[in-house]
Amino acid sequence: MLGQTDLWLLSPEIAMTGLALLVVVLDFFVKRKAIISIVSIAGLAVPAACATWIAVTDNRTITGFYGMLRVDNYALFFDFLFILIGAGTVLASYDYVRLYMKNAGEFYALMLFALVGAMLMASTGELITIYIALELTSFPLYVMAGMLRNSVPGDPGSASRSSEAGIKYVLLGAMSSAILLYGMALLYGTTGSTDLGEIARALTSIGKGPDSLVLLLAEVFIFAGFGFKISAVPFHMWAPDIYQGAPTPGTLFFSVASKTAGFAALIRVFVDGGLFSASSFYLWGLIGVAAVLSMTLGNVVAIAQTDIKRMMAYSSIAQAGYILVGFTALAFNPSSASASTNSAMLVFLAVYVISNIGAFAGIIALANATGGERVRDFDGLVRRSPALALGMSLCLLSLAGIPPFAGAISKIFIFITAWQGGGFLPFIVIIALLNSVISLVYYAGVVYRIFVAPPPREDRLRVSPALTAAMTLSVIGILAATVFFQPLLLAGKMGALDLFGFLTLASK
Amino acid sequence: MSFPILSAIIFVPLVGGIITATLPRRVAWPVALGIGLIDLALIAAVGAQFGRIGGYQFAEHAPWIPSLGLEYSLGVDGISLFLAILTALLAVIAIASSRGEVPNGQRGGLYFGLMLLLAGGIQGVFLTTNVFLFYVFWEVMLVPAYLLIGTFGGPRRAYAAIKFVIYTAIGSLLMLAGVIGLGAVATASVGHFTLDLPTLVHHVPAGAQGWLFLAFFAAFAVKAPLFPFHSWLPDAYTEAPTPVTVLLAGAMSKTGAYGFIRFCLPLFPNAVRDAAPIIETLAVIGILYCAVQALVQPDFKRLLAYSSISHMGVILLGIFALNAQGLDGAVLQMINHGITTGALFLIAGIIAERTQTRSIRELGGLATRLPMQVLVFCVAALSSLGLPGLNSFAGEFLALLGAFQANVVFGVLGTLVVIPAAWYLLRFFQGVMEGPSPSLSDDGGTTRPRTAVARDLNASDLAVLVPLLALMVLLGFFPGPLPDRIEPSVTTSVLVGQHPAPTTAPLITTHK
Repeated sequence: MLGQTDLWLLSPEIAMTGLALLVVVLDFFVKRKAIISIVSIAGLAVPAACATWIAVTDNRTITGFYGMLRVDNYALFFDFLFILIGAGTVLASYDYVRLYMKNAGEFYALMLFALVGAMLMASTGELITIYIALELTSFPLYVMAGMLRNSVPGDPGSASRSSEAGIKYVLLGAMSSAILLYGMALLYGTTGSTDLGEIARALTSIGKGPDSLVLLLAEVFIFAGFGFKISAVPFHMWAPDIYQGAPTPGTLFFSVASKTAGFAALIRVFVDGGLFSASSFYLWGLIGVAAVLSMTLGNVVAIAQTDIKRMMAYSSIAQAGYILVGFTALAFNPSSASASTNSAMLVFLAVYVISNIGAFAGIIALANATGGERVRDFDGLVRRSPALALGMSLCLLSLAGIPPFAGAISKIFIFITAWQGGGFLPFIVIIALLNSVISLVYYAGVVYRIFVAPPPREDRLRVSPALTAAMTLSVIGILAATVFFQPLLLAGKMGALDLFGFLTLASK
Repeated sequence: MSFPILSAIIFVPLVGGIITATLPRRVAWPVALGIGLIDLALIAAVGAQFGRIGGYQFAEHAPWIPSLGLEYSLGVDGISLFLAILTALLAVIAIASSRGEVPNGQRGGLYFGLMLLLAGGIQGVFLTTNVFLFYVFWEVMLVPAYLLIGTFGGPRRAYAAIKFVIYTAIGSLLMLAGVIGLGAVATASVGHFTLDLPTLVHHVPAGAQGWLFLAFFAAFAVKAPLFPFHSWLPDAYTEAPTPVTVLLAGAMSKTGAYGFIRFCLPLFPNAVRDAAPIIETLAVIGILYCAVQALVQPDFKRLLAYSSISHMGVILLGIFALNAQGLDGAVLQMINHGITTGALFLIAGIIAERTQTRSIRELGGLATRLPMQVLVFCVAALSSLGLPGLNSFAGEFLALLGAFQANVVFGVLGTLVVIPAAWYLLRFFQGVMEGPSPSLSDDGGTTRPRTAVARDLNASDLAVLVPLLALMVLLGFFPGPLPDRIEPSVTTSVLVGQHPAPTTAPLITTHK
């Protein structure tokens, strides 16, 4: 029977949906768009409170709606991450939306709906629900990509690029959904269930028999489908064009929300569904190749970019590659010992989200003040706005993985846990380390421009309070994650343990 | 719990640096100098209470990220103590000597702030006892050094800064691979994942030592620098503003040699024994090659840069002799090299600033005009040559003695090679101070732009140089207190792997 517990478990998503609807309605009646922004960001406190309430309740049930909803620590970790993303995006987009977009309410409402989908993606253990949640996340993103109807002053082509980005995103997104659905269908055909627990149980009883080719196909298709969301090579083609074409706050949102949601579901399906335990040789080989290609291609091509958003697109492809190093280790060694690998991936995602929000806040701040979104527009930023320059540099250095910042520690954490997996993993880790050197060229390149290159004009840039807040929060977040890395790691570990605990439970 | 004095030594300059970076130019200098002096006072207090025993003293432990083996562990022993004192001293001198002008514009706060950050990073490298934390501080040095060269350097600063970063970053990333691998291979033997240095000693399996040593070697060889990994250095030292060069050449270059002593020797004894002949060969080649390079440099700052590499070769020769004399000498020489190189670069900076040129060819006959300058320069140059009675003699002698004991061939080669290595300084000294003034003879005495305008050392120059000169003389006559404190640490924590497992009797007895 459905009962109060089910609703209670779904309360963060319900609250988020309510907030989204409220923003839509408010948009009709409220003239001052600032109020909509304030409502959007303040309203995030409600789903956050719901998630906290669930998190602090001891001995709670974690499954609801006949097993479709699974609100374990893993889901809660991601819930908080998505709420953080929402807050960061609203803060960073406030001025941009006010200046260049006519439809502030729609932008925020779409973002909130996408977050509902993303939260559901992390907190369900059933294939069809995952698929629906994925579509719920994706459709608002397609619209957000094409939302820039009038060109930004100083960049006449931006509106048409935005429309182009929207169309491309829809077409490629639809195709990837189809591939994912095909993979899910094959998995259902092999195991006779769409519930991840049932699938894991069925896979253990089947063993590695003659069906394993079908299973491998299913796994590859599912990986490909999510690979699009996380922009891993060879499913990355959409990212540069869409990152560049979409309005910058939208780009910020794609780069963190889409990737985080994609990884949340990917890890859940493969670990909870027991796909790793059942998989044959080829799978970890394929994932390893995807990881190496993502890192290498992302980092090498990023060097050549002149547009900062395209550079960030390739940077995010490379970052996905680093996380996939951990995922390869999971695939290679799917015992419960790899809970530490899994928690490394979660922590890395959290730190990536914080750093990326900060970096994009810097990009948006500069674009608002000067209209420039090229890499060379950062020349001499330290003389024009020292605070912005320092914050932006810190976020970039964290992304590049320069110690002591959290980005470096979380990256090294993935590498350490992966290395311990043995086999060919140390070689992948060494490739990843070499990639970190390559990535320095473009991250430090921007820092170099900020500090060393002569500025095009000797004026002081004005940074709005909202963007200052976004940047400050990111910097504080990075520093806090650096000092209090252990608590963050414990949070990730609790999430990871839930995932693996479920696996052992299911296989009994 | 007692006052965490080692943390204070690291974080006073780090936090102070961030604060200083935001201050306007006029306030920044006294504040930075004050912070530097506080740091020097703190490390001096540590030195005063330091006991003459091996092992780490003033140790501090705090868990940071235990699952990663990353613990906040600090400790000081005889090897790191003097290097930390040297770093604090050179930081004060570097800041004090840049009172006059901040190169390239008005960002004075940033300039002094970055210098303090660099000094704090170097202190962290010297004072930590956790391999992971060492790596973290190692990278903390990178960013301020890069920005100092890139923002405040000479005309080719962009090239020099990028070259510096690429060399150092590749080295340190390989070291990171080594750190991760070290923790992984030692897990089986230790029982859990840890990167605590004292715990790891004796726990690195012989089979894994080769690769791990190579990974650490990459980072240390670049920083030291060991021939042929040195080519970033002449550019970086030449382009950096003089006070920054003092800090780079005097303190930061020691981190590479220190890394060899602190990590490679105790952790990978087998690999080090195998690699020692190769590294000794490279060191000898480096001493000679860089001396020859120094002989032909027209730019005297570049000459000093090559001279600095050449002298670092002697230190590496001493380290890889793998015996107590060699290591004592190497550590002693690291301190003395820091003092002497620092003084020489300061003098070169003063000459360059007063005459507006760094070309030896354009100068000459300064001695008659600048009596103080010539005296100071003469002492520093003689110290660099290793004149008995000045500081460098004892260290160089011990290092070469160690090399002799380990291998007569390298001992002989090393000693022979040090002799021509002295020429270039005489060339510098003679070219600038003695002989006819070229501008006089060229222009028939009508215009004397180069040497005529040169002023002798003033009070603030002397305030910076005299402490260094005093140390040269003092350590020349009384080097004793240093080896007394260095040696116990060398035997207990560096040469542990080079002998069979510790015997029942303690290797050292505590001094009265």
